[in-house]
Amino acid sequence: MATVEELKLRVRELENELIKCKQKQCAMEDAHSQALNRPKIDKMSAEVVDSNPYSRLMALKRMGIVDDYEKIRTFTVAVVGVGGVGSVTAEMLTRCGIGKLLLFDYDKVELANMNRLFFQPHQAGLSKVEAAEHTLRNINPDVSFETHNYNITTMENFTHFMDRISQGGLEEGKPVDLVLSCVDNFEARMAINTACNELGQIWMESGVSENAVSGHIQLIIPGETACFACAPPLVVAANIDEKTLKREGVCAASLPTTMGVVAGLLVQNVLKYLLKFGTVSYYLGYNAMQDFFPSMAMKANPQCNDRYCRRQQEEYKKKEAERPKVEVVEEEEEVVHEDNEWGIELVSEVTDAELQAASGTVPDLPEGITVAYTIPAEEPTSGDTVEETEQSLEDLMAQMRKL
Amino acid sequence: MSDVHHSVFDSVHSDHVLTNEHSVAFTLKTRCRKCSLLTEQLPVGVSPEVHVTLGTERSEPDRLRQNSGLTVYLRDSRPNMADEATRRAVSQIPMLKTHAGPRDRALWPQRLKEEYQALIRFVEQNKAADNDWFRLESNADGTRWTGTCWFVHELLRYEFRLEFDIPVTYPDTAPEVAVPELDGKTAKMYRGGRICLTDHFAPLWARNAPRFGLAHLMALGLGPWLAVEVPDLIGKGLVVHKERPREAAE
Repeated sequence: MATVEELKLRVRELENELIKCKQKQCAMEDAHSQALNRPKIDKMSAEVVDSNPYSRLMALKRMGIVDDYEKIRTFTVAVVGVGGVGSVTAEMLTRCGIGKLLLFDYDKVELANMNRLFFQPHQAGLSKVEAAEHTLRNINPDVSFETHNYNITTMENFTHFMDRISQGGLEEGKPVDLVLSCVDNFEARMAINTACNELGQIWMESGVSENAVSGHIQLIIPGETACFACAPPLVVAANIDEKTLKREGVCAASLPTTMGVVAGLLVQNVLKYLLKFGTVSYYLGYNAMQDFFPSMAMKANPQCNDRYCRRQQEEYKKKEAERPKVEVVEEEEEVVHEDNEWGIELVSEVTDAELQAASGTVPDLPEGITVAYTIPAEEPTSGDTVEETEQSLEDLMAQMRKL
Repeated sequence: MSDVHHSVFDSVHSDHVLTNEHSVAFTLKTRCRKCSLLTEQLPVGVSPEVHVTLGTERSEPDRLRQNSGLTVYLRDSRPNMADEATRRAVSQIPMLKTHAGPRDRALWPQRLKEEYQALIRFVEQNKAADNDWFRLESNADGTRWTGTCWFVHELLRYEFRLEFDIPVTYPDTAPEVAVPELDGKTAKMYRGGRICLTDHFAPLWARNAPRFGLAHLMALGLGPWLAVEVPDLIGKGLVVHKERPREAAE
């Protein structure tokens, strides 16, 4: 009698076999569909005919929403993280006719991703960037693609990542126009933040909470608006009773709806930013439980931990000083700030250690947005620090090995 | 009394101790909005009689509401991810001084030395306390770390390989520790066997950056994770003990 475990293993084996078969079949279908693909289109046409993939987009011009829609073909966008939000983001941009997309992700498509949009079961096992490029190219052959299947947070990859952000534009050697962070972890966000602060690269951050019922997008202009390291991570308050939120046995939940909404908000902001229409949001939150969309703008923190952020702030200040005095932008930002009593619950979540830490300042945030945690203004001074040592690094490594 | 502090409060704190399984003793404190001091004085209209129910899950804060509309969180003080023993162990790990990541060519070697010093101290302390539980070593430039960790459960020793890269944003962000051989066996894990740390770990790390190092990561990240997950995996039969030759490391 086989045990449940053995049977599970067998199911897995069979699933893998199935995936392989499907991939083969998929490759064959591809060859077939190559024949069906439309040829590339040189110039976007506004002609309203069934065969014009851009007719409804070009109609935006006729309606006076966008001045120059064709300009979209001159832009390059880097999408970092091709998961629930990133893949949909890339698809939207592809359908809008973006000039070039750079896709970064180190992950593979898994069946566990199927509760989200874009990827299909037969793609399981393929790298996300490879699978995405394939689908997207089929949707719109006019877009250029560049894919990188690696983790951007490690040393060698990060250098390459920075290189591609600064050189990977539509015209090789030019920087990309916008970087979109669609990653699912703090480390990768901080890595993107570091790269963009160093390069002075404008980017947009997006995120969906681990409980799947809130999300946000944020426009980061190095030196001008708060970078990702300027404040503790901002979170959209979901107003969920802590008691009912169970974490037993799970790390993260996800919904195709929330991910789709956040991707939609993100790309909308991208289009508004690139094509210069409407008002570009600096920070827009989405609380799915109450259908509440808090928004705000936050200035860069002069005490930001990231020295490149501080340097960008200096440069921004210089530029602002040189500019003729029509400081409308600054006023606008201040208007968005509202008085609020948020942070109260955060402050009162108490253990002894946290009581002290809780004295960290909570930035002035509008209702519905708060910080994930606070950081005390002064560094704790208690505790030993490592002593000065005569030993070399090699000595220490050897000593560690001998233990 | 209301002259001493300004009678305006924007938060309520509670100091509490668990006296037995089902009851909690605590004092409520309020923070004065003007001078920021904590005082035992309560805002007008707030009854000191409060009702407490302890959460059933470890590490989950318990909330109590009061008539005034003020909200107080009480954290379940039963042993959790950062229990007393862990806190004591952590307090003995020396803090690091150099704020440098692997991209900082000039200062990274110094940081690396401090990492090794702290790790050596921590392992020695663990040995002295008869609680030796991990070994780590790095490649020459200190960007990739590998090692083993072990956990004793019902007198049997379970050993696991562990690995992680130092992210470019270290020490502002903690490395993501992976125990690859447990990948797929527990939901408390991300792809590739990277352990899923509690909500409390990231704030703890952020508050103590850059003074926390890899030894702290082991003590506050991996250690508590193993303590919760391994017995559970053994109980479910997903981790089975295999006789292994004792390593020189022990």
